[in-house]
Amino acid sequence: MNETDRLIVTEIPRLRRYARALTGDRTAADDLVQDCLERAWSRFHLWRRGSNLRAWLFTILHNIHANDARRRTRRPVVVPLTEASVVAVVPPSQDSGIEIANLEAALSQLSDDQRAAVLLVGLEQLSYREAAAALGIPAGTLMSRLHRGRERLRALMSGAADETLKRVK
Amino acid sequence: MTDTQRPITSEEIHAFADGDLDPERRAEVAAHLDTDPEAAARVAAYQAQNVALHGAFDSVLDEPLTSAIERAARRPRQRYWLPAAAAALAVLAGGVGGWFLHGATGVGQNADAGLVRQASVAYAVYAPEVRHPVEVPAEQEKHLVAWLSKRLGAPLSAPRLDELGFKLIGGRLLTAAEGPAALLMYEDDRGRRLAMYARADLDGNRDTAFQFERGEGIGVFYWIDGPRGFAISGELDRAELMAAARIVYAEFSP
Repeated sequence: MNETDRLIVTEIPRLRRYARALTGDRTAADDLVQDCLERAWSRFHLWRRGSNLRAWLFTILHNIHANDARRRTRRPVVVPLTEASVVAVVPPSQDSGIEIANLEAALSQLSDDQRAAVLLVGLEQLSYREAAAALGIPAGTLMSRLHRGRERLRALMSGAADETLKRVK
Repeated sequence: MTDTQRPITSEEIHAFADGDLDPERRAEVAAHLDTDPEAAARVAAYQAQNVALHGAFDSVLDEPLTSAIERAARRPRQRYWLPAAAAALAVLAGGVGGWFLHGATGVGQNADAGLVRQASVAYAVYAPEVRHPVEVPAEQEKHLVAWLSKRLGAPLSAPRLDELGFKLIGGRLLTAAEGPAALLMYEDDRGRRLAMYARADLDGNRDTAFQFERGEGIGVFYWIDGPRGFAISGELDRAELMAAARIVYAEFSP
């Protein structure tokens, strides 16, 4: 494997993580990553060596996702709360499983735009400029989607916390 | 210190939570948060969300790749076969005996990538030939083998693939920019063809175990042993190609 191949391979885990969080579905996420890589190779001559490969790949991934979403009829993202989708990488405790399940359910309640903004910034830690470029929107639009997404999550998660408290009582 | 010169914006609350402010402004915002519980609650919530997101999804980073993703992750080779095959076909149509690969640049510098490409192109170019798939027919096998051995600078023989139903129909010498290569063509009684491609001048340290690639319907088993590289190619399924590869490998390995 030469240098360039390795550069791209290094980005795959992050692309998968983002795709998983964005789609809420392992198969859809991996298909998205596969499509992204294939398109990246076909457009590789357009990437300027030394420029931000990660941001470029996220842009491609997001464009494919957006096109797929446009083609499908709008339907809510259903996140099945099965064993497979509840990813527990926190110290085992009574509360943490519930928190994670609520996070994934809450994410699915966000609009696609808001979810993408929150994930690119909060999970993938792209800069605001990189995230705006990946989504093909002006910085101001990114900030407003980020803000609305985070505030919505905040409301959903604190509502869920109240539910937990009610159950305990 | 009086009130900060610039009011804290909502965007800066987010940036603070994401660790994105320059140190001076960061200190100013931190000071402001001490006096503004609502803003402080926002920062705390956003940071908690970020932590929760990582908690929920970071494990994906460690998952083993699916084979589909692994394949997609590698630079595709098809792109480099077709132009080379087309160029070689054009040369053939002009009736020239040897042929040259043109324009097949950009493939990684690995000997094995080149080997697969060359073997696949050779198969793609010569296997479909009805009248002249080979230059020297099997009837002159002794001469063929002696000639190819001399040009490659290494002893070459034509392995017997009869047990798989394939008979040698002959061979040719390929003169590519990369160096001389031998091509032996075999055929079964259904007319299916299989080619053995061999080089003897690869630069060292590229040894590989059996590798398999498939593209455009052509499967290739290949391996590199010091300066010698071999590829068995054909429009056959992997199991048949592997059976042939095993026989060839046994022939050329001590």
